[in-house]
Amino acid sequence: MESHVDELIEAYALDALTATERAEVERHLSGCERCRAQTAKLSAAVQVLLQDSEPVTPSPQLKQRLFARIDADLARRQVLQRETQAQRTPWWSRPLVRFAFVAALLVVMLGAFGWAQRHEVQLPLTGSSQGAQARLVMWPSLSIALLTVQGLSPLPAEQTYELWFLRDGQPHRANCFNGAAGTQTLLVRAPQTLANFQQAGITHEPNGCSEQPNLAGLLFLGPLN
Amino acid sequence: MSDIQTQDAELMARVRRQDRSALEALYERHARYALGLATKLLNERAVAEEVVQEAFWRVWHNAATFDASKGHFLTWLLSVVRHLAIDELRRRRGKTTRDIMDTADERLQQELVSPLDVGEQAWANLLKGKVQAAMTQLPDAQRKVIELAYFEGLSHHEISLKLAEPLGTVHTRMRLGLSKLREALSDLRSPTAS
Repeated sequence: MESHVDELIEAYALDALTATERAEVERHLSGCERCRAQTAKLSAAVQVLLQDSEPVTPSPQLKQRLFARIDADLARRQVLQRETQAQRTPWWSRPLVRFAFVAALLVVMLGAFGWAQRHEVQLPLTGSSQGAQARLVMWPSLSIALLTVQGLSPLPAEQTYELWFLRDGQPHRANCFNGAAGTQTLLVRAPQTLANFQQAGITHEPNGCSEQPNLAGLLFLGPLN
Repeated sequence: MSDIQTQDAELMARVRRQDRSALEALYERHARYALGLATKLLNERAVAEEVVQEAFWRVWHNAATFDASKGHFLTWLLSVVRHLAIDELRRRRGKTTRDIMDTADERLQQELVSPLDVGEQAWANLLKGKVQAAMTQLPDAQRKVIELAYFEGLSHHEISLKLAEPLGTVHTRMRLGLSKLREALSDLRSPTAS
């Protein structure tokens, strides 16, 4: 009997042992089927004592406090979940990485066309914007170009500058822009590859982007070759 | 398992998946029993409500440790309430929990050994009546040591000091008292009881 814990088993079931004593009992229980079975029976009887109380209706505030805590916990978990999902997203499918990839691909493609094919023209000033400059950097086999303008005053929201490409004297719309203090560089797009156009021009459009150029507001016009 | 137990087990499975409405259903069903026990142990309504709030918070956080095959949810919940209330009583007596017992959280891992079919509201009153009758029938000395241990959280050494009785006498009273209690409650055993 010495090897069993009979002396302490009721106190164990009643949760009346010190931590050290309880650990000692549990060590014994882990290897003694007989004491384990006896403990289970005693604990079962003891747990029924939990039922020996009158129900008491909780205040509404108790439920409010509890579920405010639960809601805060749910919100915290959702934030953590989103952060975890973001971290688990493959690096190659993250938006910033995708953008960087496309940009790098564009640079490589442009590089493949060769810096030698790059064609630059300075558009002659025809209007009254003294000191203003406009320069196009183009690749004739592409429909995109870089437009750099300098000295064009920023316009009110309802007005715009408009870039045109001319083919056989007919204007074709490209881009609208509002001007900015200092130098402004824009990526512009022609309706066809630039080799199809002979001239480019920039107008001031007092009523916003237009289907036809406002010839009274012609600021720049010049050949592309 | 009874219908109530089955429903509680299903609700707990949802609580494990952080389903707020499942916890709310369990709260509506069992909070008054939890508060009844906490009020009985602490004799102070405001503190009892704090204990019940903390008990349901632990249900929410420790739902994964609940094993429906080992017992009824209400028994588990009431065990949580009891441990928290006893911790509070011990703290009031100026002793850290570690001086006497481990924390309620650690004990929760060992709960749910009950093979008794408790918790069915339809016969909860009958059960309560039987428990009360069984306790009343115990000799005062035996009932006293059980109450001091289980409802006031005293260790067997503290009970011995409080009653000015040898430790062996305390153990004997516990043994006799629990034996009579088991006998009085034996007809409550479920078919799966050991």
